Amino acid sequence: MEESVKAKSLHKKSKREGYMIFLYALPTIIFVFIFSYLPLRGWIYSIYNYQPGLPISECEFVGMKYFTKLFSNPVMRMNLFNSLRNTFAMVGLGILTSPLPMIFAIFLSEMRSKGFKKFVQTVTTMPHFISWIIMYSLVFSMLNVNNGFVNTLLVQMGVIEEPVNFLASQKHVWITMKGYELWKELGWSAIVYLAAIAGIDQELYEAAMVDGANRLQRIWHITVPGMIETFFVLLIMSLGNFLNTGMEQYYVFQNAMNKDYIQVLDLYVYNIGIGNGQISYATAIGIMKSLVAVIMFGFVNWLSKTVRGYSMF
Amino acid sequence: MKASKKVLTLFLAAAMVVSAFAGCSKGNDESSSTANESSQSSQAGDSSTEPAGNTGEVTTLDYYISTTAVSGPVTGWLGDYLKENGLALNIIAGSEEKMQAYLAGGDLPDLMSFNTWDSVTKAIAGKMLVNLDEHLDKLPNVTANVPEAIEYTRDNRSNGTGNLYVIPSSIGDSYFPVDTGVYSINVRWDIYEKIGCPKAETLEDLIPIFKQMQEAYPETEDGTKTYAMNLFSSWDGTTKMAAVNNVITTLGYMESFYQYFADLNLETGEINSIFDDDSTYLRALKFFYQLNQEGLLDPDAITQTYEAAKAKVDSGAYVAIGYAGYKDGFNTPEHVDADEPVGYMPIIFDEYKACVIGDATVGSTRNQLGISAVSSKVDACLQYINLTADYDALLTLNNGPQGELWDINDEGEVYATEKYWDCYNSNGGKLTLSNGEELHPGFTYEYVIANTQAHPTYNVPIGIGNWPDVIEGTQKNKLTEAWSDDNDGYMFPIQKMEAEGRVYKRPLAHTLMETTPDDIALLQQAIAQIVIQNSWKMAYAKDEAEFNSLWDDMKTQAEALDVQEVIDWATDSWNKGMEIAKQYVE
Repeated sequence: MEESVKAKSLHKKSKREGYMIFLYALPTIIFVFIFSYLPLRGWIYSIYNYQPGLPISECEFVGMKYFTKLFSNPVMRMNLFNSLRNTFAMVGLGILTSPLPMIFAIFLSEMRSKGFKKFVQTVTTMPHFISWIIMYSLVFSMLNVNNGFVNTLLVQMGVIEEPVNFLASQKHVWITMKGYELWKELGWSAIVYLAAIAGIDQELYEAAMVDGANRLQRIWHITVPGMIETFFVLLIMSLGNFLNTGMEQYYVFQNAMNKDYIQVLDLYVYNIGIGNGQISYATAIGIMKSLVAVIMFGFVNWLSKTVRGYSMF
Repeated sequence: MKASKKVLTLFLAAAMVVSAFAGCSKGNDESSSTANESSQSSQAGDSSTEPAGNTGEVTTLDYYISTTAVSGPVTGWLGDYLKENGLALNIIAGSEEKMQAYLAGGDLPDLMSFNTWDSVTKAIAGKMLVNLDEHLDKLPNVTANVPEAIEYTRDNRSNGTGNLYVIPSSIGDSYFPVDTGVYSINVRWDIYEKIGCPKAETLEDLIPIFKQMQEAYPETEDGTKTYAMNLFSSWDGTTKMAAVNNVITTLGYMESFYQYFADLNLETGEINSIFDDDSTYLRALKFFYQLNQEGLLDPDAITQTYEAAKAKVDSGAYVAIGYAGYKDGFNTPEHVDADEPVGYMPIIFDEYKACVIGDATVGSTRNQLGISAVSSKVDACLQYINLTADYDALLTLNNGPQGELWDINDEGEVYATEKYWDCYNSNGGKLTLSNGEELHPGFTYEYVIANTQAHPTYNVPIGIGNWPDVIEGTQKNKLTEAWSDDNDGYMFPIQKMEAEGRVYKRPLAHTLMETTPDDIALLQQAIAQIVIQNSWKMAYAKDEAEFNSLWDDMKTQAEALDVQEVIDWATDSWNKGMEIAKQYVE
């Protein structure tokens, strides 16, 4: 009898705790619902010839017309394919370069001069707060052919004979874009890792020093393992954002010469939807992006299940 | 303690949810009208426009202008003048993107100055605009001064409703008193004279001339290397390579018609595909290609913005400039009236035919004025529109307060005051008022009636810069004299051009073309992307083989996208425009 009362009260307690946990999660659920699920009703625009300002009920229903348009013509297909290819390339490079902030943070933390360390950290973090428009002006003033200081320097040093038009080149577009992004974001991204390093127990280093570990060994055996978890968490988070490359950077750097390699999906949607006012068509492309993202997610899920025996679903 | 933590947690969660919802809620658009008490004395002129019911209260209007880059309240003498009329304007600088966002959102600012008829059509379809037919009694200046424009707009630009939703702007005759403005190729006349003023028959003959000029003047005083033609890509947008206008408009072809992938010859009226192997478009690209081969094309052209190119024009770093090469920045009084004058003047090669802006009998193709359907200040908006269609008010709006730079003499004639000439002679041409304020601090607005239109009482164009004595006094200088000596003694280029029948005005049909249907616009944008890209690549092609292969590639891709459909639509729309124009032009 007593046991059954105890069990009942335990059950009650765990039920109440369940509610509490649910309440803790509720704001996030509502947040996700509002900002991630509600906007999905905008997908309906892709099957109507949407006229801004008109309620959807008064717009002409066109069914799958815009989806057909996406694939009906070889040039349109190529545009979509190129945008997809560029997106994958940029994301791929993003993953490849993802250890860089971690490495940078290690280097920073190993600096002996505190003043110099702070100086480097400030200088590398500052560009994060500058908009891409300003960054472009900066890059243009550095790299332009007529009086950009890089070209002037290279010519005067005799490295090149004629100035190189770096900005209007279709060579290495992905790498240069990633380079600009790293320049802008490296210092900022390193902050999380610096925090992780600060969290590593100093006694470990002292013990290692007593054991005769040199600097590199301390980094490799203590610092890196101490940060790796943070690295993977960030990597997984960035994978969740797989196709969201953003468009600002590519928008300001695009020109006729590099457009084939710079137009990522987000920029393509922007150019068509906002740039050209084709909202329905741009929505159709946006849906295609989501579709690709779902397929990618399914693939990663399958991979995780096969390799690690663990998956989301 | 625990309980208080729980309460705090719940409170924060609730606050987050509420703020999230608040972010989504539709903004309350009833921005209050500020009733500023006008305390500042004003030097504004004695315009005859007395706003109906002006009780001394000032209504602030949010005014979206698609063609200005400066946001913020209108202050200074213009602000004072508007305040006298019970108005204050808060300018919202526009852009193509912002326009789309406003249209998608549905709630427009009080007063709108649209960028295209296409946007107007969308706004009408979305029921975002006030039907002005219901308020014509409050637009007496508009109905009296621009009746054709109203009739035209109602008949052709009402999205089939037959109502008047916008009032077009810049209505009036076009006016080229000195030269054809940007519809010419201007060369650094001082350098051109140095190389002996060689004559050119064709466009291509200009290339060796430019080369000689570049050799004579390889870099500016500050060491910037010189090039020919101020090309840049920031005006390309989504439909065209704007740089082509440099060539098209000097060969008698209509500006920007190639955005429909066709050349329109204004002399013959013929419309042909730009993909024909003898097209003017291809000729323009070849011209750029040859310039590049000769080291005359600015390598930064493709990446520089208009502002960067303009800064170079202003410093005289191009030996020749074309469309968008506004030469005033370099042709300053100090330059053009120096003992050895320097400056840009048009080179009149034998083949040159200027395609210039035509008379805007029913208004320009942009800056149409409309009132937002959700505005609570419709009367004030109407008052503003009516004010900008009043000839006397326009004298002040364009030229500043009466008694400053202009005045009316005892014979009832308008004239430029001593102050105006002082500004011209000693202030580097910068027009400033007595209080030191600039007349046009970096921006001007488009009004219902153009400043080139003649004032009915004074029989001179509204804008002071176009008054005969002002033109004579400001445009005649040592540079124009030098030009005149080399050009059969004509005082100004326009006189030679007109005498030789080389000026072609854009027909009214240009402003009367239909709104591009969505299907065509989609096609147009997709083709344009290829055309813009390949055109720039062709200009910078390494050799003839690469040039031709890019051309073939562009042609093949455009044909695969059914470019003929766009050309056919544009031809049809142009022909319809020509028919409609007959109703409005005698």
